[in-house]
Amino acid sequence: MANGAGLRRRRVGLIFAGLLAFGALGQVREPALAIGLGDAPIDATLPPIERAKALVALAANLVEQAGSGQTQASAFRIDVAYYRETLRDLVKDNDQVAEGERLSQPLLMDMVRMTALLQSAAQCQTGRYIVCPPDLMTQLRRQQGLLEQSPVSPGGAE
Amino acid sequence: MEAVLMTYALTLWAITVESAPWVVVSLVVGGLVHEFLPRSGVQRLVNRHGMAGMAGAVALGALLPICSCGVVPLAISLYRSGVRIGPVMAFTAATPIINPAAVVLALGLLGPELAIAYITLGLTLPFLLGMAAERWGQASALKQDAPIPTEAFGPATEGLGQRLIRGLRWGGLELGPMVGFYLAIGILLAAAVMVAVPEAWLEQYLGGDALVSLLVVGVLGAAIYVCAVAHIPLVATLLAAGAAPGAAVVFLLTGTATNLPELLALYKTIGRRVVVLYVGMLVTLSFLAGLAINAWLLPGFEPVFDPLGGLDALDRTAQIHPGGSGWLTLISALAMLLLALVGLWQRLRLRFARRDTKVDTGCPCCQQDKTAP
Repeated sequence: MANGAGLRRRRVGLIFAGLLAFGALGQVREPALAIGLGDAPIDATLPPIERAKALVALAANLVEQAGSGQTQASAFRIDVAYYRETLRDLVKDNDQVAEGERLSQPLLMDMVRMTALLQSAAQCQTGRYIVCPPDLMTQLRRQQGLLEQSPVSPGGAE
Repeated sequence: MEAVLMTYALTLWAITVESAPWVVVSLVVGGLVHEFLPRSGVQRLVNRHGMAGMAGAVALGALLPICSCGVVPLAISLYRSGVRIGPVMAFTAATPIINPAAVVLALGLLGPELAIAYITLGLTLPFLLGMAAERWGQASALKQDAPIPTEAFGPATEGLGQRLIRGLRWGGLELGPMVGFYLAIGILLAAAVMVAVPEAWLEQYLGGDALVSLLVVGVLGAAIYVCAVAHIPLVATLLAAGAAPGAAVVFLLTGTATNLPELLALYKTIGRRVVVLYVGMLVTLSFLAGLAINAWLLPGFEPVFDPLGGLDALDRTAQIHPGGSGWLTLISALAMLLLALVGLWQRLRLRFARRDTKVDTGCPCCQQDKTAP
């Protein structure tokens, strides 16, 4: 009788361990990063204006992904980190180009704020997916609108 | 109507998944605190009268990255372990308002002036709230929830394993359903408030430096769920769009320090007077701080313009505050839901038991037998 109960407990334990392993496998099998969500990586040799335009497009893509409720969290996080690091390179390179070709500081700061919002969105993980609260989505869309309206043009105010 | 319900469901879910992991962690730690604190030297340290105990509680709270819902089980367990109400309330306020990740983010995204104001107020407000609770809130402690004497925690000779199990059992089975039930009701209400308030309210009121704007931001911030690390970027974007710096700081202070789930749980477990005092003082002091900040920085306030500094701050925040695993979040949310349901069931059972007792009292001859356990 006692052996039977022990056997049952072991079976339940094995089933539970199997379920845990299955869940862990699901995490491991998540697809690897698709940088730029399918687009080619942003060419670092392009002039700052072109890179800024590409980053604005990438941000729009990420905002759309954040609102879809079907984006895999790990891939989204890597894309946001990619956006942040590409922007960092852009900000550093922006100081090296001639004054007339520089991006404006307010535009760069708006892009930094977009990075901050995207990073907040990357924290909103439920299971494997990104599920953003409505107030964050509203702000992401508003910031995206701001970026799309701002002229990605040289000679911005310093 | 469908869209409103969808927004409500999403908001409800967002608050739940954001707070659940910390509530679960806090229940575990709270159980251990309840078991081990009463006989440790830490209790004497925290319970020191005067500034030292309060400053210790604020410092401890400022180091923990727990949200305002997550801090509730820990606060209740500290209180029920014999810690005075002053340090408990100081800890309860400091924990969600300020943490290392929020400080780094504020420095990078809000600029030095607002970050200094936020940090200074994040440390002084909890201290003052704790002092006020100590001075005027002590009498309100609910009689049934009075601190338990040390002798009630079992013999000191018990093994570590037994004590660990007893602490975890208390956290999960006694404190958990009670806190889960009140938090669940509070989250339902907070989500309703967030959906009922128009989307543009934050922008509208943060944009004004008038007294009404500060007051509305303070009161609404105290009701809705705001997490410091998640909302600093949001406030930074609103500041760039022309929000008044005073209103932004008021929103960050009252928004992070309190919300309906936290207030409801504390109201039911620690006492009405303490909670009323806590909210009243928090809103009033934040309002005054907002006025002072507006007088200091307006007109002519310009948001910070240091893109590299901002990116570095984001990088550091991602390292300090990496965010939990999605599965753990999901499991925590389900655990919280389960605790809320157990809490509801316990309440319903108690209510029906009382009703049965009342019915039985109509027959004096049977009363003794029927009400006997």
